[in-house]
Amino acid sequence: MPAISRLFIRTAAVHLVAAMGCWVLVALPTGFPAETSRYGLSMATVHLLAVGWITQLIFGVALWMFPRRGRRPPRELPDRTLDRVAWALLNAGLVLRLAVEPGWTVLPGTDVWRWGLLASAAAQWAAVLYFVGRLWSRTASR
Amino acid sequence: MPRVSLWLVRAALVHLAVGVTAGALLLAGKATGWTPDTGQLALAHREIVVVGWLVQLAVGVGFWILPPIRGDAVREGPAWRVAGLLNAGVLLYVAGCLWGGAAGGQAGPLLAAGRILELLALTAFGVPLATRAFR
Repeated sequence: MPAISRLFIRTAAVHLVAAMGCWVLVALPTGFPAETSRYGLSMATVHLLAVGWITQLIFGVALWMFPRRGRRPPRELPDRTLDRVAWALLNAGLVLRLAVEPGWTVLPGTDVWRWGLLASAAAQWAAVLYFVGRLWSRTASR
Repeated sequence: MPRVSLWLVRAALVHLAVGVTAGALLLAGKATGWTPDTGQLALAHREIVVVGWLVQLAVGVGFWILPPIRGDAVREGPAWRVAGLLNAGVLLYVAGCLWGGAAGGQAGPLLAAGRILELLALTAFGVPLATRAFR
């Protein structure tokens, strides 16, 4: 399995566990987290699952399994620096969203939260579009 | 990879690109206060990402990988119909979401039609899969 695939799959597993932990917090009947931040936390958790878990798992397996031109076996897939940069952007965007969004619903309009949400959106968007392009080239018929 | 799987996966990637763009706009909108019909855009975003990306990718890879319904010259006809129905359904539903915001919520028929097409597509995919997989 290529190194980038291992990285995606391991990170996806971490996001799954983190998302389930946040899901428990959202479901707690007590006063923590505060009701006003519960919506932001649940939105961030949904995206931890949809993007951090499922989509990253798909990226990892697809980079490994989708057909490649030529006969290079999977273990010789070149380790591209841009792949790792995009992986880092995607995960940084997700972590930033989890850190910022619950607070955004409580303190909207403050600069830290505004720039945090914008940076999270831009990072995730750029990373996903990069991998859409990577996988597009791999969808070649035999 | 059979041609029908090729095009299903590519369509799924297009849906992912569009869906993540809509999602980024929604998240940026929270930060900047730009909120045009975010309720409708959020519904469209969810449909594109869940059905257009995740479900369609699974269907496309399923036609490629799963032995009972592996695409070949005989079975690709039904597979193409699944692809057409699924994408038409998503497009109709998304059009209904966006039209509903602009038309004051009068897009019920579009939403229903989109969901019906999606149901037909996934029934056409799932029933053969279930019956053949359990032989």
